[in-house]
Amino acid sequence: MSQPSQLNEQERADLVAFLDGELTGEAARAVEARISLDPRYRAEAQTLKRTWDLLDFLPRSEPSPSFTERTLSKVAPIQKPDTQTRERTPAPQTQSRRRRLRALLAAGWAAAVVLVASAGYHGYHGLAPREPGEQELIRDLRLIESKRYYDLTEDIDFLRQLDDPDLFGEDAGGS
Amino acid sequence: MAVVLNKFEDMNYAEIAEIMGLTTKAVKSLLSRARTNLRAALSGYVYMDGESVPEEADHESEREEG
Repeated sequence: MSQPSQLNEQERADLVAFLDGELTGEAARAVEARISLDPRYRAEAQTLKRTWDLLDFLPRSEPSPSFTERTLSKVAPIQKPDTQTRERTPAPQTQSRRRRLRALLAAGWAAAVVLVASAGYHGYHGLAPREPGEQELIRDLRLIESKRYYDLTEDIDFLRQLDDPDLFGEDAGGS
Repeated sequence: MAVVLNKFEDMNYAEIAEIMGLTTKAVKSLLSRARTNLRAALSGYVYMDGESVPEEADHESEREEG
């Protein structure tokens, strides 16, 4: 049976790494063998593990709702100035081109709106039947009053002939 | 910090090394010392659940305190 011995720094580091699952291969097998053979080493492993597990009993603090915002606001100034400038401020040429594109887009939209509104207005007033205005009614008053007579004949020339003073005028009967 | 990252953030040694700007070996040493210090600080609470203290562990603890 192996003689129990006090752990040096390297041995303890290997044991801790083994407990953390960080040792692989030959190193891990060596620690496993020693744990099974050395009671002091085994006790040390057990105590270290139990100590580590005690931390699970610590109360966990919940981050405040503004934690993310505050953290990001603190991290932002740490970023490299040139990177920050490059990322946040586009080149002047790009900026100018963007502004021009935005203006063109806005002008295009405005023109489209005006065109559609104009086409709508003229289309409505040009195609839809509408009521005559007062001026038109006054102008055509005589025509409207005589409409029932006009409806009796289909020939306007015949009406004009009837209007001939030689036919029904005052002189017509006398001659 | 290494303890918090390892224990509560479940990071392995390589990840901790990257965050802290250390080598993996340095993190291994750091965590080993941290756990040894914790072991000494919490020695009175480790076996509070009634489980018997291994004799070897008791001697080891006395040696460290001495």
